[in-house]
Parts: sequence; structure tokens; C-alpha cells
Amino acid sequence: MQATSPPPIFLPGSSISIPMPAPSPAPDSTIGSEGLATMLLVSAQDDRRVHQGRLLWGLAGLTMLGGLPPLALRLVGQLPSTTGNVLADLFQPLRLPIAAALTLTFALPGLLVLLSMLEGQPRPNAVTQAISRAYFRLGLLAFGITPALTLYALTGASAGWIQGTTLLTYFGAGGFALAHFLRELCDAMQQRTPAIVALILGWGGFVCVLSVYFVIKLVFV
Amino acid sequence: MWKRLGILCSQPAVAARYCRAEENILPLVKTALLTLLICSAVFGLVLGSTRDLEQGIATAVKLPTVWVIALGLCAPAYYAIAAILGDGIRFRALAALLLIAVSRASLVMFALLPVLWLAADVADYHQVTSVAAFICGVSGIAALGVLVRGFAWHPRMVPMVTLFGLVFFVVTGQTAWSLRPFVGRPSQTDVPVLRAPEGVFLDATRLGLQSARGIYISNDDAIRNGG
Repeated sequence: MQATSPPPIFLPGSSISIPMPAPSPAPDSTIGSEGLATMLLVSAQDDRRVHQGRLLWGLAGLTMLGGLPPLALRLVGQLPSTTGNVLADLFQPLRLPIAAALTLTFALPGLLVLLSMLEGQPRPNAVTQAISRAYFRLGLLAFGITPALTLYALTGASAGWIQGTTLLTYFGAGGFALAHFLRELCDAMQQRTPAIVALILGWGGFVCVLSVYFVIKLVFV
Repeated sequence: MWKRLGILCSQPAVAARYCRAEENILPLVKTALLTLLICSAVFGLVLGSTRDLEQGIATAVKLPTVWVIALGLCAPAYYAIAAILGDGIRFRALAALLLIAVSRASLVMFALLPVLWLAADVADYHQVTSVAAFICGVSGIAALGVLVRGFAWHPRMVPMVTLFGLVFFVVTGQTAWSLRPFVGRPSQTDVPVLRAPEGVFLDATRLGLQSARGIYISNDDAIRNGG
């Protein structure tokens, strides 16, 4: 790109103008080096560190979502400062990441068994990649929304409003992650028949039900 | 300084490219931050002074605070949205891009100060707040111009920019709602520096829209009904 010299700046009330030196040539491409999140998301390597990074982000994001807004509510007095049960207080931020991990992994072996019966073997390691990416997507979205939710918790939102919005965020981000997971799973099939696609979609529906169950069991105890 | 201000004012594409490549962005970011603080503080001073000088000073402090808090809270959400939708922008580049976008918005607010000043002198409270809201809306378009230029065109930009706008709306709205009043109703004899928390701004917006349609619900009723 050719750098052009910008017009001079005229100072108000005087005839003096400050000539504007041409800025150093701006970089040609609008695409710079990739951010960490994108690197983790697009990496196709079956590298242990990549998987660990994704799982850590997922865990951190969901722990933040489950922990920070209630903490903010406690700070402003909307919730009691402690439930009286230390273990429950410590466990509370971990409820969402555990629910997400259980939702994704609990029904997966069954799917793989049924897929193998339909001769629909996914490519090796593709399932591991898809799982870690799904958990990462969920955690990343949770990480992004948590500061805004914490702001609302600190500035007058009721406990019910915060809990409802937290669950809305969790299910919204979870639905997004699940949709990508199912697509990646379909793409990873060595052969894709209508029966296999129907099985994967049906499994997706079951996972939705399962996620509601785990949230009820773990979050609303 | 003038050179960098010139880039902020008239070369949004160049500013966006500098951010995206993270090349010598620190001086540009410092200028943007200074511009943001000064321009929004002056805007706040004029807006608050429609009531009295004390309110003007309070608003001059609160308005830059709103911007800074909103930027800090929007950045993680924008980073997550961009990454999920497949744009590999780095957090540092995104934060710089956001800051420059908002500083450009504050420059537009500064440029339209005479309009606000005139409105404050000749119009009533509701008209002044409407003019201030209109100016903020126009300045938002200037900010969007920088933000959009920071990303290569792709169909995914449509949901991305929509989500950016949505997040910005709910975060900035709640921040501003928490730090109100910025002007203070003329009927009130004593205006506090900060009001006590009263629910979320989305509910207040809904109540305001209902009031505009002639349906009046008091705040107490709204709170009792869970609003």
C-alpha cells in the first residue's frame, strides 16, 4: 500500500499550519499473527499441549462463569456471604465445568459403539479433537460473557436475573459448541450415509436433554 | 502527537491496520487514550453543566469512566466472539483497535459539542438528553467505522459485528445506568452524585419504551412484579 501524506492541520485562530509527515507505510495485510484462542481452535495437530490448552481454557472459562457472578452477588449482599457448607461453597464454581464435561463425555462411548455398528468409523483422533474443541468453544464464550455478567451482578441485577442469564449463556454457548462438534464428527466419518447422519443428529438431541439434566442435578442442588 | 491525532481523525483504515499488525501501536494507543479521556470529559462537563457546575464536574469524571469500564468489559467478549467465528485477531491488537475506535467516537462527540451547548441553552431537559443521545449514536457510527476496517471482509463479519454491537449495548448501557445521573431531572432539588442500584438497565429501557407509548408503571410496581 502506498503511504500518502495527510493534509496539514490548521491551528484555530492562526494562519500557522503544521505539516503532517507521512506515516510509515501501514502493513499491507489486515491479517496479523493469530491469537492464542484461534491457534488453539484451528490447530489440527494431535498435540497433547494443544488439547491441554483447550481443556484448561474451557475449565477456566466455565469456572469463571459459575463463580464470578455469584461472588459479585455476595459482595453486594444479594446472596448470603456463605451457605454454611464450606465444601458446597468451594464446589459451586466447578459445577458448570463438571456439568459440561459430563454432558459431552457421558454419552459419547455409546455413540461410538452405534457408529461402529453402522460401519461409520470416524478418523483416528478426530473425536478427541472435536471434544476438546467443543469444550474450548464453550469455555471461551463463557470467558467472554462473564465480565459483563459480573458487572450486572455488581450493579443492581437480582440473583434470579443473574442465574437465568448465566444458564442462558451456558445453554447458548453449549448449543453453539455442540453444533460445531456434530459437524466436525460428520466431517470425520470415513463414510457418511443418511443413517449415520441421522444417528449423529439424534445423539445431538439426546445430549441437549442430558445437558439440562446435569444442570438441574448439579447447579440447582 | 499531531500526526497520530491525524491518523485517528482522518485515516481509520490506517489506524486499524497498525492495530491489526501490532506495529508501533503504543504511541497511537497512548494518544487514543488521552483523546478519549479529554474529549469525553469535556462532553460530560457540558452535558452536566446544563444543571449546575457541580453536576458538570461529576459528569466530566463519570463519562470517561463509563467508556474505560465498558472497554475493559467488552474486550474479552469481543475476543471470544472473534475467535469463535474464525477471526484470529490477537487480544492486544483487539484491545488497541477498540480503544482507537472509541477515541474516534469521542472525537465526534467533541466536534458536536457546539450542538449540545446550543441545545442546553435553548431546549428543555428531555430535548437536551435526546440531543446527547443522538450525538452518542452518531459517534458510535464513527467507532464502528474503525472496528469494521480492522477485520478482513468475510460473510462472518455480519454476525460478528452484530454481536459486537449487542455486547457493547448491554455493557455500556448497564455501566452508564449504574453511574447515573449525568444530568439530573429539573424537578429534583437534590441530585446525588450516584444513585443507588435499581435493577438492570434493560428493564429500565423496557419501562421507558412503555412510558413512551403512554403506559406508565412506577419503579416500585416494576420491582414488585420482578422487573
